[in-house]
Amino acid sequence: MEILVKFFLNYQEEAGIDEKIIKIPGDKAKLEQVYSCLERSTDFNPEKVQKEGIVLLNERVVNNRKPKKVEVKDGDNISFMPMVSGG
Amino acid sequence: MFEGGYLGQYLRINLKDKDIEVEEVAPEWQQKYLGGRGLAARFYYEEIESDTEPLSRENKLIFFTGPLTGAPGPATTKIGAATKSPETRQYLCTNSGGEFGPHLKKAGYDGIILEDKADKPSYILIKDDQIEIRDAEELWGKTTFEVNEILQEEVQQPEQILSCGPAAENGVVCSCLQIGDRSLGRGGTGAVLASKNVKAIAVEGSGEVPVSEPDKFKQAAREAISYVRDSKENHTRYGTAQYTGPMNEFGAYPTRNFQTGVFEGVDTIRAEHMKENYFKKNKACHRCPVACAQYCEVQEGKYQGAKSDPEYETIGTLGGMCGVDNFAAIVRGNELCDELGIDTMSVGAIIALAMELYEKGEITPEETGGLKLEFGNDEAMVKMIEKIAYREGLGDKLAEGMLQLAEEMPEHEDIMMHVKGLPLAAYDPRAFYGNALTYGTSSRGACHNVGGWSIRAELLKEEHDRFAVAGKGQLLKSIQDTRGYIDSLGICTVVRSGYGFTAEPEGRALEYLTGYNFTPELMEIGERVYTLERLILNREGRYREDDMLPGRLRKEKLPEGQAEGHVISDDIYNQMLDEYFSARGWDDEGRPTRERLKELDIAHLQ
Ligand code: SF4
Repeated sequence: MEILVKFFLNYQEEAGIDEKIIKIPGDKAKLEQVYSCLERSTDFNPEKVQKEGIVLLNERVVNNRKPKKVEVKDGDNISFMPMVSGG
Repeated sequence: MFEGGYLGQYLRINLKDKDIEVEEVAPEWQQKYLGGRGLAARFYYEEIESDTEPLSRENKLIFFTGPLTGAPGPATTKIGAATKSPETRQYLCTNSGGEFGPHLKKAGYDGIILEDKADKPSYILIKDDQIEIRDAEELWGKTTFEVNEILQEEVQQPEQILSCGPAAENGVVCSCLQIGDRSLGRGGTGAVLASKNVKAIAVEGSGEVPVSEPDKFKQAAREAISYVRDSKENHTRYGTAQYTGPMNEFGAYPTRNFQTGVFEGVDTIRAEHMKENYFKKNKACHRCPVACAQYCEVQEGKYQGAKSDPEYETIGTLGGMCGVDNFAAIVRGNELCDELGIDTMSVGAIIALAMELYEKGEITPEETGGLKLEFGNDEAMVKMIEKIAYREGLGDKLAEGMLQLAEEMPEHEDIMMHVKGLPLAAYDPRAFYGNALTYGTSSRGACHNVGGWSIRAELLKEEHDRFAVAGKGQLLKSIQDTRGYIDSLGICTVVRSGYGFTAEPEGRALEYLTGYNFTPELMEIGERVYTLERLILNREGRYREDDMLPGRLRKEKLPEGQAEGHVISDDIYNQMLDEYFSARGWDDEGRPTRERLKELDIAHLQ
């Protein structure tokens, strides 16, 4: 399965790319596997996003602290961005 | 009553008589309204009649600091102001960072009230107890940058000078007051100052703000610094510009006068692009470890040499709203606005409106003097700022603001993106329903700050899902009340969490500063301030129907992006507004009930 991942702001700086298509075997996976896949192929640091970022799965915010519980499937898109904190 | 934080006195300056009095602030008012926005609103209620014309000698400009302004802690920078706004023709509150507020406190004053009108152009110099109203013939007609240069000899740094530019002298309703690069941005305070024949106020104080328990306050300040250093890293790295990419991703980025929520040109105006191509250095307000201002410089091309620090809202209004994807033009536009003394947000919004009217053929090339006022034309956007500031050609009409335009062109009212005369900020409420109440119920018109910035809560809390209707009224009340006390304290909202201020984590900085345990009362103070502002609005004839959103948001669905198909229908909006009024203890027309006023101990003001 293929998942489109987009990085914003500091996550973009850290990962060194603005977006990437990742491939995971099978047609379903958990967010945790996306994290590991990104850790292997970029400088992305999942701990940081778990602590202070926002993860959007298909444009909806998901619980980034429980990546074992968030399911992803082929064709999904995921965005990593920092917490918005005041206008 | 207070052992620190306050000086307990303010300056009342009658410009006509050149009479300068030092008057006391009643401690009871400080306890009930804190300072800044709250105290300025209380004085406004007392002193500005509902039929006062904004640019008349009867209007007053009321400046107040908060207890934290100038105190030896991080970001103790803010000064608030209240006046009758020429842009909205109603109550206005506004605030700014910089060194003006802190130095006013160090000079020995919590605030200034300016009354009447000077006989000739003047400026005011405050150096501790030496206060002079001086001749300003030489300053009249000058830009704010030139004023800073001339007056710089009098004070240590330009951030201690508050001034208005040519736009204010020309009565442009969205002209602002500049404090260095910072602005009392919204609502036309610049025009009010200029209508009093005052060009600037410069202040230098040699004293210190008293602190009740200095060692403990110092420790609390240290903790606040380390907390904000860690938690606001992205503000330091990107400033508020960081929101550009995410808001576009959420489908909430107002594009071409709110015709859509996704801007195809976002990649060249987002923070990442700014950082790589234009960023020079960070700049900070008074004692702020975050230093969120991103000072940018244009190195090449037609805007070469332009320098400024555009905020998210400025990038949104001069950029996406005008369909402009050239960041260099935004840096130049922002620089011009600072120089000429004009609010980037209102001016961007009104230019965007003019662009749409031009494309519809409702504004002709003759009216624009041949300027192709089309979306995406960055040169036209920059040129129009000047034309508005100097009231040239079409600029003369646009200088009168949205309310006047709505009266002249009622058939286009649906696309005039304002509430109560104040243009919307750079978030589309169709993508965050709570933001609709933010704009609708903000006491100064469509403001994302005073009205309560709901976006974080709508993203992070399941019960406040951004497209949910139920619960938004209660949510907005709580965010607005928080903002009500923060704006009254004298610190920047970005840094507020470092101080705590709530029971969890226990925030005692205010107690160490003032000797009074404000913490348990802060939310009530915020609510009191908001309710007092509503009483003022009611007195000035503003009720439920004035809380309505522009037609475009109510009738046109967002055509693309994450919020595609969403619209704030009348039904949705009225449900949220009913819940909000009920949470506030206001009746169906948006009038505070006697019971709620009694609970807030302000029933005597009704
Ligand atoms: S966070 Fe930014 S706006 Fe707030 S005080 Fe610091 S520099 Fe000024």
